[in-house]
Parts: sequence; C-alpha cells; structure tokens
Amino acid sequence: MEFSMLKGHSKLLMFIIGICCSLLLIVFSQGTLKAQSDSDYLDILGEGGMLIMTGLWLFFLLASRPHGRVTLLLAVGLSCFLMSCMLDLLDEFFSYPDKDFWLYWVESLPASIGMILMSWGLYLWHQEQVKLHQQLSRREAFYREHSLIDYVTQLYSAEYMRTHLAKLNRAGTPYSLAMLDINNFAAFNRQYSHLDGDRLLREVADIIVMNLRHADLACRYAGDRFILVLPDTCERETGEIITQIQTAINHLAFKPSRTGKAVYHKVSAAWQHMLAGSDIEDAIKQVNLKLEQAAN
Amino acid sequence: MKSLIQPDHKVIAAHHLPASLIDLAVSRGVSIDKLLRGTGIFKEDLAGSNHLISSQQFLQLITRAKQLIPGHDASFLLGQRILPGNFGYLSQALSSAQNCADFLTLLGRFKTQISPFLGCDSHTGQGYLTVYFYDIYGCKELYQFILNYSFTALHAGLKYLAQKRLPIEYYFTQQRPKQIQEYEQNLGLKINFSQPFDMFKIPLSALQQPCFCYSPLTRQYALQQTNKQVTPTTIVAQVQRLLNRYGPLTLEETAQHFKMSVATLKRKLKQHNTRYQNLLDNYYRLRVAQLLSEQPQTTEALAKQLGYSDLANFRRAFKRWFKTTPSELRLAFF
Repeated sequence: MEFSMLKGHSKLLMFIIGICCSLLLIVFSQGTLKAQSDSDYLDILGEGGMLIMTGLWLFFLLASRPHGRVTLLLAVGLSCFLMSCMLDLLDEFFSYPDKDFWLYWVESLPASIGMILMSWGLYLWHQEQVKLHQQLSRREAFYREHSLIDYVTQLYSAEYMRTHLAKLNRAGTPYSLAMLDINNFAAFNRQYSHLDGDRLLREVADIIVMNLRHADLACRYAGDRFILVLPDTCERETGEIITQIQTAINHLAFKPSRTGKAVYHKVSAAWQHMLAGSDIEDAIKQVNLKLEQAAN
Repeated sequence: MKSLIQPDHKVIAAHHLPASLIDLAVSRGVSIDKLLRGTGIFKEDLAGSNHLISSQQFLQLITRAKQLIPGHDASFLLGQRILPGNFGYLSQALSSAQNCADFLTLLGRFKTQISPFLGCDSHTGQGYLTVYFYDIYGCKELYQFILNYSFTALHAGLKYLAQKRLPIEYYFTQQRPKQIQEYEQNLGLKINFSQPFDMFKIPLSALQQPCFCYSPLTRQYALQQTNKQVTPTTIVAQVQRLLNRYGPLTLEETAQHFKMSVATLKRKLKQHNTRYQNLLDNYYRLRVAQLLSEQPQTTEALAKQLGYSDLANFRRAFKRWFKTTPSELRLAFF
C-alpha cells in the first residue's frame, strides 16, 4: 500500500492525537476505576469495535486524500465521532463523581457535531466528484473500476472497453470503433530503452485523450495499440478525428533520456462504423484486421 | 557441453533472464525487496558478476513477478526483451545468423542456456516447418507464462533480425484466454486455441529470409564459444530424445541406457513432477502428429505404424493422448 499522503497531514494527525490524549488524561484524573464485575463485556466488545473501525476509517481517509476543505471536514467529523466512541468505551471502566458530570455531556455531543460535519463534507465531496468526473471523461465512461486501469498509460484496459461497448449495445447506440498503433515501437524500444518506451506510450495516450470529444473514450488495447470508441459518429467524422490525432502525434518531438534528441513517431490507424448491437469481439476483430492491413 | 540439471542446480546466470524480469517488475512499480522475498536471490547477488541461481529459484522469481506485476502482459513484455538479448556469445551467434532457418536451428540447440524449461521437436512437411513445445521441467501452473514469453521472444527476435513480419502461425493447447489482445499484439493474428499441441508453423519459404546482421566469421567464433558453455538439459528431455530415436522403450530399457536403477530414474522424473508413462504418451502424440502431417492416414494404418496390433486398444490409448478420437483429430487439425 501507498501511504505517502499521510505525511501531508502530520499537523492534523498531531492535533487529533493531542486531543485524544488530553481527554484520556482528564478521564484518568477525574474518574475512579470501576470494579471488574460491574463492566458489561458485550458493551465493551461493541464499543471497542466501533472505536477501532472509526480509527481505521480516519486512517484510510487521510492516507488516500490530499489536503483540502473536503478532507478537513471529513477528518474533523470522524475525529469527533472517534472521541465520543472513546469516552463511551472508557465509561465502562471508569465512574465519574456524579450523574451530571460534564464528561457525560461531552460523550454525546461530539458524535452529533461530527455527523453534521461529515454530512457537509460528503456534500462537498459529491461536488468535487462531479468536477473530477468531467476531468476524467474521455478516459472513463459510466463506471469506475480501478483494477482495470493500465499501469503505464493510466488509461483503462481492453477489458474495460469491452464492458463499455456492451453498455452502448444495450443502450442501442451506434458507434465508430478505431484502433491506433505506433509504428516501429519495438525498434524504438530496442534502440533506446524500455523506460523511454513506457514514457512514449504515456505521452501518446495523453495526446489521444486531448484530441477526443467529451463522449468519446480511449483505452489501451495491448502493447502499443490503443482502442477508441466514438458513439453516434459516422465514418467520415471518425476519419477526421483520427487524422487530427495522427497529425498531433506526428508533431510530438519525443526526447529519449539517453540522447535528448527529438524522435518523431507515426501511428497507423483503422476505424469502422458499427451498428448498435454488433457482436463486440467481432467488431474488435474487424478493426484489428483492418489495422494489420494498414500497417503492412 | 550438455549438463543434466536438477531443480537445485545453479545453472542460470542471474544477470541474464532473471535480471530482465526484475527490471521489468521494477519498471512496473514493484518493490525489488518484495519481489525477491522467498526466492533466495539477493539484491547484492545481482550486481556481482556471473552469479548463478537454480532453476527452482528462477521459477520462484517468476511466481512472484506474476503475482506482483500489475496487468496481464508480464510474460509478453518479458518476451519482447529476450532475443537476441544479452546472453554473451549465444546472443552474438544468434544475431549473426545467416537466415531465419539458421536462427531457429541455433535457438533450438541452445535455448536451454536462456531458459531451461521447455523442450521442442520439429519436422517439415507439406511446405511447413512445425515446431512442437512441451514442458521438460515440471513447471506446472507457470508453464503458460513460460510458453508465452518463449513464443513472444521468438516472434520479436525473428521480426527484428529479418526486418519484416513473418507469416508464423501459433497453436496453443489452452482455451481462448480473456486477454486475447495481448496474444494478438505480440504474436500476430494467426493464433489458434484449444489445439492438441503447443506449436508454431512457419512456411519453408519464409525460413530463407536473410537476417540483416549476418556475419559468417562472427557467427563461427561465437558458436565455438557458445559450444564451450554449459547447455543445461533435464532427465525429461534426455528420455524424450531417447524415445524419439529408438521408439517406445520400456522403463527398464531406458533406465539401463542411462546406467541407473529403475527406482532412481523414477525418482529423478518425480523431481520434475512427471512419470515415465507421461513421457511415453508425449512421444506417441508427437509421432501421431508427424505421421498425420506427412500424409493422410486411416486409423488402421496409423495404429500399425505405431506398433499397435489391436485397434480397440489403440483407440483407448489415443483417447488418453488427445482426449479425442483419431477421426475427430484429423478433421479438426490435419
């Protein structure tokens, strides 16, 4: 797992830990230890579990989100909830001077404040997701599955494209399917390095995405081959867009790390218009064959 | 120089194929410590000159890499990096091969210096060279990974040296995989699944395609040096070769040939997760393929040539070899 995000939250983490410690100190100094027979083990189990789980949630929240208002709201909300859980658990072990002692009051209040903060945070998070989704369109369609993201290009894989095409089929949308292949990619890899090859793939992927329209989707098919789907687009329009992508890639002055001298690349392309409901494997195969002929 | 290896013999140079695999994993974001955990290979060993690891260790490394490298293309990416590669004199000899036929001959002879897990047999007929592949090591679930990188290496190496795509057709025993795109991308569109053999076919005319680095003197010198190096082989490969030469020997005869007891031979085969009967079956499978590809035959003629006098008996054995009947196999494959 990757925890480098946590470093950015060190101040917030210190603050939360500080408050928890001071609460613990207050409880230890003000309360008196109960006799063991008085504690209800089922309660301890339940409340202890809540405490651990809330702690885990807080940890993963901080480990997976960068700084910002949404993160802060969610973290503070969860911390309030955490405090309530902690006090709830502690009063199984400690009894306080009288029934209206202020710690009882502290025990119930933070949880509700925390819930309100988290709800506000979730609302903002929703808005953030809408924005992020706009940013991600052309790389992502209707659903999200991080295990299908290709490591090198950060595009989705061929498997994702298949599920997306199945969705288009179900919706009855006709589409154009296109494939792009970098010419002499293997030779480039041999001449320079595989690391340069990976970097080239990443940059070409970015260029492809930049040249697509909002509803289009690009995925990495395999190796140096990309697959594009353009819904509701006729063959002529697809041809125009593909030519634009090819022109853009032709002008990419890629600099391998070893020489630093620009190397230019060409891509072969093939595309075909598909009626809604065409067999997916068949469609991919057709374009694949066309591309093979175009490349030779 | 041939040398019989066992799983724990240290015969593979760590800076050859294992290093390529480690490089690949690292470039895919895998931590090297995590990758090497449990393999008995250490980071320091890799830097040292000519550190050797055992084939067992290499298989463990492959297992780890397969688990840790994201995506489904690890075997193909590795294959792209192998040939002609950095295997010293062997790579030099391969690079300076005269033509594709020469390249394949050299590779067939010395392939186990690169990766000691697969054996192969070949024959020519009806305008094609056919090369069959089988496990000579007992790789179990890693077999497919190894086959994939071997085929990819061959394909990419030939394409590089011949400077053009060759019309090679690939056949796999496995069912059509979900990641078909990786196979197409790395081996071309002529690929077939659920076949009786793992093999490839190449037209004899394509074999005459010259290699662009041909250099007779370099080739000769590098070949002399390569011959001095150890070419690992396994007992499984040895037995298979013996059977190919002398026909279906019994277990006792084979043991006698290798000057070992029947029990020792059995034990040695068991180290490679196989039994003598499996090797005999493989021998028959290859014979059937050869006979059928030379000319169409009736089941009776086939049985006779393989030394079976009883047809019912032959059909039963055939079912064991191919999981199908002679007529169905002929229809589907030849």
